[in-house]
Amino acid sequence: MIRMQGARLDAIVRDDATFRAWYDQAMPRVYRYLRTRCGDDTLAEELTQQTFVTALRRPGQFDGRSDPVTWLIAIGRNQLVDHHRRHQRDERRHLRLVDEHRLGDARSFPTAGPGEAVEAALRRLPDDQRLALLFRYLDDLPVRGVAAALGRSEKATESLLGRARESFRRAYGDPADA
Amino acid sequence: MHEDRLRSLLRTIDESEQPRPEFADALFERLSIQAAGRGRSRGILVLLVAALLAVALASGIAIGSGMIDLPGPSELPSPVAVASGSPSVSQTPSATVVSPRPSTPPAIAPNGLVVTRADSLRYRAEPGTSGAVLGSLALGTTGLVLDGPREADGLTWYWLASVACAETPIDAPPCLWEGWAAASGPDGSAWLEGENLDFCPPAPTLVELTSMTQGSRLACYRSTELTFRAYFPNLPPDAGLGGACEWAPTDVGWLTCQNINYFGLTATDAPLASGIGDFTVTLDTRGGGTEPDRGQWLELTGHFDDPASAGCGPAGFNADPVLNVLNCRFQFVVTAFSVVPGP
Repeated sequence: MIRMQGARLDAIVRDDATFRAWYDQAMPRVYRYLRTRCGDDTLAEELTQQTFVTALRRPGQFDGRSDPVTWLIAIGRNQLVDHHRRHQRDERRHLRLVDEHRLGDARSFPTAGPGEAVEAALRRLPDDQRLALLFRYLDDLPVRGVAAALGRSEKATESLLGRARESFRRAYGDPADA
Repeated sequence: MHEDRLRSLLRTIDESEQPRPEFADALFERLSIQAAGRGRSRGILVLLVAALLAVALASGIAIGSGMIDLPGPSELPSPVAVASGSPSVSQTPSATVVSPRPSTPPAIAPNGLVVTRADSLRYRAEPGTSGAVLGSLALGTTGLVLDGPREADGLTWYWLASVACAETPIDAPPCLWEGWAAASGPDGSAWLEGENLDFCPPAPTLVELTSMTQGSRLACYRSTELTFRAYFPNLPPDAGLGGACEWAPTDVGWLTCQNINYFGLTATDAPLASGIGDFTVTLDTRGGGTEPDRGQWLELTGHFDDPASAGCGPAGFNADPVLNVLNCRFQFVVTAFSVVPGP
């Protein structure tokens, strides 16, 4: 296993064997991160690809002071948000074209495993609410970080998180005072 | 719902999913090609540096012999950056150890792209630390430079904007953000870095244009006339599209109101299952132009950054006139088209 922390990405990519070892460690982590948050295999692959292509376009930006996967995941998070903005845009455009049943399928999270009910509840949330919850409570980003990721003010993000918690509670079926 | 309960529920989501091996291999192959391309660039750069040093050495001999004049200190080039963070890298000025960055960031300038190198970088209504904070940008966010540099409060500021705007605004501002951000911290650490435009295809196809952000298209091509081929598909019978644009009667209505047109193009002649196409363009109708018939291949010529965009401020879907202008600048304005037999 290569030691990723402390290694500059532009140095890693210069050596084929090092690059492959680094990729084999980093790519599944980035993929799993995105797969968990978007709930779709094909979309996770697309976003993973965009993340790595973007990262390698600017390898000198990573200075080796932290785990490069943290850096890659920050890029992946941006890709995820960008995707949902595009999706939101397309959804608005095709509002009257979209069949809700098909839309549900396209966003589908896996339906097996211990988190099935959680995933089903997340699936019912609007994109911005779902991402806000995942960034805040799964990624443990501070509200300021969620705001930055979503391109909103902190105040607007607090409000969004409040709505998201309530939407999730109702979708999950928790009592109101839980 | 209590935050701790929410946190513990979300952590039950299964994170064990593995990528498909064939996807992993295909992506690695693509990245290897990308990395190899950079390697070749580095090789060329090293050769260039070696050549420059050879010239410099020869110049030194010439200067010493009084054959040429030595430039003043302010004209001397800055030292070439050497690889840092590795104790094994010698700082001796020799061509064999000079390791320029694979892709040296360009200077930040209007109409170029920048990437944030700091997380939660604030952008403000005015340059300077007293400007109202409008929001903050995540690490790795790309922005289009609208103006700058401006010096304020000991920092250098650039006016940045989102590289993407929604194309069909209904209930939300279609463009995302704009504001002034500092390029570096008080300690000199870079907060913004210019992005190289070496990814811009010189004669982009529809597929290439579709894969780029609106800001990238603008930065790459500005108002250069481009020509590409595309299919103008028939709309699905139940498209149910429609609407009116309140700015249609204005001078820039033809440009602003593209947001509700259906001039969407595709790269293949496959029937649309939904939507209007992959890449929406707008037609310059000031001379009376009309859309071509659907269901045929077209060769289109046009440009981004139409000069009429400057008048879009008061007429558009954003509350912010700056974003209305930006939205118009992002549009590909078709100035000519012809029917062609295929791609």
